[in-house]
Amino acid sequence: MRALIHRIGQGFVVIAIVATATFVLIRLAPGDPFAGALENAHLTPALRAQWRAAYGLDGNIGTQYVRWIWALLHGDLGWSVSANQPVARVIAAALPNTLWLMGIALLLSFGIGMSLGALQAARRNRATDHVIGAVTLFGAALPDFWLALVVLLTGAYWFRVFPVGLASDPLLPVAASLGTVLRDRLAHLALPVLTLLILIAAPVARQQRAALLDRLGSDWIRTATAKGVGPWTVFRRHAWRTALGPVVTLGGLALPALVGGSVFIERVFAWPGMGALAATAISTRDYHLVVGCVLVGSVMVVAGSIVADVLSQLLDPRAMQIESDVSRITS
Amino acid sequence: MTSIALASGDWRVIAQRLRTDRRSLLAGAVLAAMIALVLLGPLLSPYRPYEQLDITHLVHAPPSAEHLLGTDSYSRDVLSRVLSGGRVSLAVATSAVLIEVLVGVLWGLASGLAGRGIDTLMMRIVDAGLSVPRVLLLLALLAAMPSVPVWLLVLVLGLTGWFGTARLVRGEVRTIRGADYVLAARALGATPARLALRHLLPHALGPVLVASTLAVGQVIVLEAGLSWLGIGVQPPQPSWGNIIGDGYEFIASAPWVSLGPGFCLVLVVLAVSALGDGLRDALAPRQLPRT
Repeated sequence: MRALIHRIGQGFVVIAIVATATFVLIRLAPGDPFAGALENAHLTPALRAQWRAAYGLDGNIGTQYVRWIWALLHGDLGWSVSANQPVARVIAAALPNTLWLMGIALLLSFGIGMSLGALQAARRNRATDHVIGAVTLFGAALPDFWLALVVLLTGAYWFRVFPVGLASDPLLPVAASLGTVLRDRLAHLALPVLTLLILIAAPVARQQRAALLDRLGSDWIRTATAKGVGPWTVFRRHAWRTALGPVVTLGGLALPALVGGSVFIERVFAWPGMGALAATAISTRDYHLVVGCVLVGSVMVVAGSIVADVLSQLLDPRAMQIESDVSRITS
Repeated sequence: MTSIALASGDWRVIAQRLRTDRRSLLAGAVLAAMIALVLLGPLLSPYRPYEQLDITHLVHAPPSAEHLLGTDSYSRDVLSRVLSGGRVSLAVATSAVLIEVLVGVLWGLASGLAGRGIDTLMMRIVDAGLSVPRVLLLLALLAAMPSVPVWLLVLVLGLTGWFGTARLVRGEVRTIRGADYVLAARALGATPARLALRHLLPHALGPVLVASTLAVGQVIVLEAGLSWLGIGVQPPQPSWGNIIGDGYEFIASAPWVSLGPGFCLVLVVLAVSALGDGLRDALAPRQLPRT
């Protein structure tokens, strides 16, 4: 429990560093967010001062920093120029779409990836193992946006099976039956989920295989086998169970890449989530929205990795113990 | 323990292991061929990469004998652009990784040798860096700049990628800095700089080499993604990413514009990651974590 509180505290420190860094970045940006508008010679100095005050850009940098952090703590992320709405509201509208997509993709990927890895470990060094190994090596190395493009091209243009983009059909009648809506949602989910599935399941399978092989070579497995426990039970109860930890840890480590990759994948499929939002914010130079996306993305990653840590500790209580031992010895 | 086997004399053993690994050999050959292709690009490429050949008749010509990869929406020869863009993509990636390694190694050494307080602070910064998705960090940085020349892109890519290397090096330094021979060197009056470079760094080199090989693959993809979004290498200068981006708008009618450079991208990235894997196995079979 104390470890958990410590870990959450660490998370807050990390978020604070990220927030400070993004503030510094805003300040480093040459000129200010509406430099172009301010060059207008017709603007009176009084109006400029009023604008600066309205956007919190008056006063020295210390005051601005305090004000910015204070606003952040109140959930105020600034004003989105492109959406003409508060950044927080724009993000709140996009976030559920991303969480849906990610959640479904993560569940499926871990399920499939872990099964593939287990199959490989059980059939070690045989044809099944080699084939899956080659496929996952390939999948783990594919560039994310490239894969998304190919999936889109194949699934929506060459074989016109799935819709080209968006999360739902904008022309769907309001009074459509639940079944129609559901089918529509699933059809729109299929291609982005498939892309994420290939990208995530591949490294999961590789990790699962490695972790299982590592466990299968250990003493307690030999002991269990010597006691007469059947091979299936050994595999399931003694190897699989203990190999879960590293796989979950991988999930935590993979989060930053996943959230980052969503920028490209959501853009390709015009999926109205955080990633596509960030990409749009870039192309419209909507700087507050970019910063907002970065902050929320980082919070997602930090929260996710805490969950992964807690899970892997629950799965293998020794992990935390060993870690604290190591830090005691090394410090 | 992993690093102990990698003391400097063992490089011949490692090279030997790499030479007998079929996958690494194949990856190395593919990589060498691609590098040769883009280096010889100007000699091989049938047209000039910026030349708009015939804006009325040659727009989006499908692949043919004259244009092996077709032409794009400005009637430019895609193959010529891919050869020229490959130089940019590979040069950007390798230079950025060099910066990553330099900063990461120095940070890791300093953190590993520093006292507890400074070490904790330095590692918290690394934690923060690792927990921000790199793409988002790059978006924030690049969006803040009015224009991004290639050298700046390289710098920004390098400065957002060193956190992992720093942690790796710091870990290695922490595990061996109490070793007897390090204490002996210290007792003999070795300066911290000498201690770091002569006695500690060589042990971290193996893992760093593996990590940076894999990093080259990641950065090629990152640069391609950023250029595809329009905030990386700026047109008309081609890079694999922005050629794919050019083609993306016409993906339904002229998929070859994106598919050609994409294929090169995939080939190089696969080769680099296979080589990195092979290198890891050669350095310490089964011991380094597979991620």
